[in-house]
Amino acid sequence: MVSPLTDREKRRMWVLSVSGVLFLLTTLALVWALRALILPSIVGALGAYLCKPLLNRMKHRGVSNSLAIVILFAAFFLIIMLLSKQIQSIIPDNAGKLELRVRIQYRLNQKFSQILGIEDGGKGNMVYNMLGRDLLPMMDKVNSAIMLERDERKQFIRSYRLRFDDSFLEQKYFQYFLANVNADKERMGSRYGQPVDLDAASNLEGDPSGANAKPATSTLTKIGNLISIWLAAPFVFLFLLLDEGEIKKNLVYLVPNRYFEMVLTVLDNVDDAIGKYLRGTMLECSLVGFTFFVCLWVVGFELKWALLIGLVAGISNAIPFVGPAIGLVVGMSYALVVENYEPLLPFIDPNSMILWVTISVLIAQGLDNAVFQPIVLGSAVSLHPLVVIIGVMGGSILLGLPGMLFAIPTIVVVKVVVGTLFSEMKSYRII
Amino acid sequence: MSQSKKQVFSAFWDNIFQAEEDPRKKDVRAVLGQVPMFSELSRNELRKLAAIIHERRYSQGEALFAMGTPGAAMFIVRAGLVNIVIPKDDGNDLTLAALGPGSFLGELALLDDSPRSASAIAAEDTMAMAFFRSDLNRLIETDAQIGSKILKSLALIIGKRLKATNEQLFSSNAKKNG
Repeated sequence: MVSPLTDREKRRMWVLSVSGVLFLLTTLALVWALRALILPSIVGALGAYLCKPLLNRMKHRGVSNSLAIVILFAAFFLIIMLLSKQIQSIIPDNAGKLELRVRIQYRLNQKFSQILGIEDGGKGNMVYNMLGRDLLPMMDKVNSAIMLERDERKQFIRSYRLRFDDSFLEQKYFQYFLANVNADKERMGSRYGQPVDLDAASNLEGDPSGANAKPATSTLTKIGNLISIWLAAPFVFLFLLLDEGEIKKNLVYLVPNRYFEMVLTVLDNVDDAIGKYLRGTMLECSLVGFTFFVCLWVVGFELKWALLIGLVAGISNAIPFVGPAIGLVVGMSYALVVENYEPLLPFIDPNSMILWVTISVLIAQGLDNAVFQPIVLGSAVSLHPLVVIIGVMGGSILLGLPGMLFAIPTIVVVKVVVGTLFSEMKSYRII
Repeated sequence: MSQSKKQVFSAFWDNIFQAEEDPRKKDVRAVLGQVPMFSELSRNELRKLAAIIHERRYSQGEALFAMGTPGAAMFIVRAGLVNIVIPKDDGNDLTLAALGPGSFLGELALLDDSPRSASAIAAEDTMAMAFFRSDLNRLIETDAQIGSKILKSLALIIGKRLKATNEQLFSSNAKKNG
């Protein structure tokens, strides 16, 4: 015979199971439908999580909670705005992108010829004799990847004619373009296709700026959508900072009484370990980015570019092993394209800028390994190098660059949660 | 500013910064105010404390905590009855005390995670409030004044108990020695 209490228990189990499944399905459907908001929400949540100790410190110093939140919110909003404005001002339009590719191709070939000693009809040096057979086909592939296609060549000529009228042929980058065209013709032979007539190209109809890839309304709609999606970040940031433990309390409320103390202990330990790791990593990346920025500025990079490359190198430094290489590649790409440098130190030779970028990366990484990591990440979670390599590769396969960036923090979270959970379950005699 | 505009502005601001206190929280605050450990806290300090207190419901026979497990929280009985027991292998558990509404138990967990010296079992359906050590530690960092008041009260309570234990020991020794 079934007692009334058992009936009640059965009903309770049934209600809990059904509502649990419904909740899970609704959550999954919502996450999928609102997936565009995930990244801005993560940025906002991460910002709030990292700022929480700052908020506590401000409160400790007597600043009221509301004022401290307003100050942090304004700072977060300002940083996001300034960064996006800076990045937007640097990103070139369609015509600018074409010009950039022309410059990269020209300078790459020029440097390559210099390294191999084959410029101006030279017979080649030792490097050419040793590695030429392997390097030349590789360089052909690089050239094929960045060379302008026929339509792009037309667009480039048209934009130059409209910008410089009859003097367009005398422009430096147009000379680069012509040199690239001749080199491509020579390299590809009959595969190159029909050459573009300079006069005919300039008479074609279309947007003179070359920024005609998409209609204007489409761009506006895109920007509008992007702004509205990214508005989520500051709001998530604000409301998570305003939360005084309500979210945690409501989640913990669902935990059965038997596991209540254990769950809160686990949450606390995990919060402590992850907080140390994330804050440490952020500080370490900021220091690496700042060091790289200062070094690049000293060797003669334009201030805004040094800042942007430092920012990229700092963010990518969060990816073990691959991060420093990204900083190096970005710095070298810039060194390859830009021709006018203003070094702050007299002994820096602008012609060997690639060497100076490499030295900058070495300084930043040397300081990171010798000073920043031991001080900043001292007591944070450590992972086995093999786990790190597999994690980064796995993240890259699954989600590309964001996967690489978030792979290690995710592994750290899983490691800390599983480790703490098992240890606490033993302490509370659950297992 | 017109009256209606003022009302809208105030409602917006209150909603953002939660100036209007939730009645449930008010109730929790009132209960906390009666607990000796929080007797020195002001109304505003009690409001801050109420925000980090966890409310739990226990059925009759359910354990609030078990002897030997690490202590992480202090419990305050809001309604119902809690027995403090030493479990015995033969099933005849030794009941040390029965605590009613307003009583608190497991307060030593606020100091460290040493194992519980006894179990706490709900003798009837009970509502309790839990105050965690990690929350107290955070409170000491952010609101040192509240933290120090709680720690001072805790020290006084432990001191009183030590005094009482010493007196009991003294009188039992005196009885033994005739």
